[in-house]
Amino acid sequence: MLKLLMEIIDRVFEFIQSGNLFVFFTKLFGIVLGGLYLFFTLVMVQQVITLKKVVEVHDRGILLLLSQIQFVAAIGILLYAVVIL
Amino acid sequence: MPDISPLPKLQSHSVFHTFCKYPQVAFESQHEHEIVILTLRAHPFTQTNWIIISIIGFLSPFVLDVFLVGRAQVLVVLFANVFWTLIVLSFAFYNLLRWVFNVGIITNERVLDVDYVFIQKEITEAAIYDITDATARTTGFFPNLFNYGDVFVQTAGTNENIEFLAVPHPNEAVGIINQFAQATHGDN
Repeated sequence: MLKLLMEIIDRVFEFIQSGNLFVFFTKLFGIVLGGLYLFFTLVMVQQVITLKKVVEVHDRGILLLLSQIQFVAAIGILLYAVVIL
Repeated sequence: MPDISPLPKLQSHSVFHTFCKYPQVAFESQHEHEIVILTLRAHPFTQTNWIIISIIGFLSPFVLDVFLVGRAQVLVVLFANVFWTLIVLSFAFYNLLRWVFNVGIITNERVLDVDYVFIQKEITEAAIYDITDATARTTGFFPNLFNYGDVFVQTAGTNENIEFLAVPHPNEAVGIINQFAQATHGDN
């Protein structure tokens, strides 16, 4: 366990010393933003579901669909930040 | 509940469904024989601010990219563009929700004001027989031009007063509220 932890720390230091700090922070920034946006869209989906129960707006499900599209897009942007960025 | 309907029950919508008479809408705490007489939302003109901001926000990456291309990595620029576009779309969507779900409902039994701000929902209601007075206020150039204004509903005693802000045809709305309030007072 300790050996594995030391190996991870070694790799992190190796990565930092390799001069890719800008890339690292860009990726970190992207992941944090993507995560926050994902949380925001999840809240929006829940809000739309709750609000539609409060008042009927005859939107034919468009508002819920739009909020769900945002949620899917948020997953996409988070994956982009994790995998590609 | 006695039938207090001084108005003909004709369904009508005007100003982009912001002033709807006898709309076939339902709400969460609606009673069995409760009829929705009028629904009010803010006049569409009051929504132009966020629409313009959204359009500018949506177009701004096209201008900024001219300066970024060649200076930053393509993948980073692409991420920034996509993320910015999503933020702008979310901003527009949130404001759309605020407009749609900030609604005033006048029924034959009560007046409700549904207010929605992010993660906050507030419903204020007053029984129609508690209403002592309803007044309309239209101030400013654009409100007079597009015929929208604020409606204030005063209630008796310690009950909370209700206000519908920037709604179309405020005088007509006040007329309807007062008609129903007076009809109820007449019954008692």
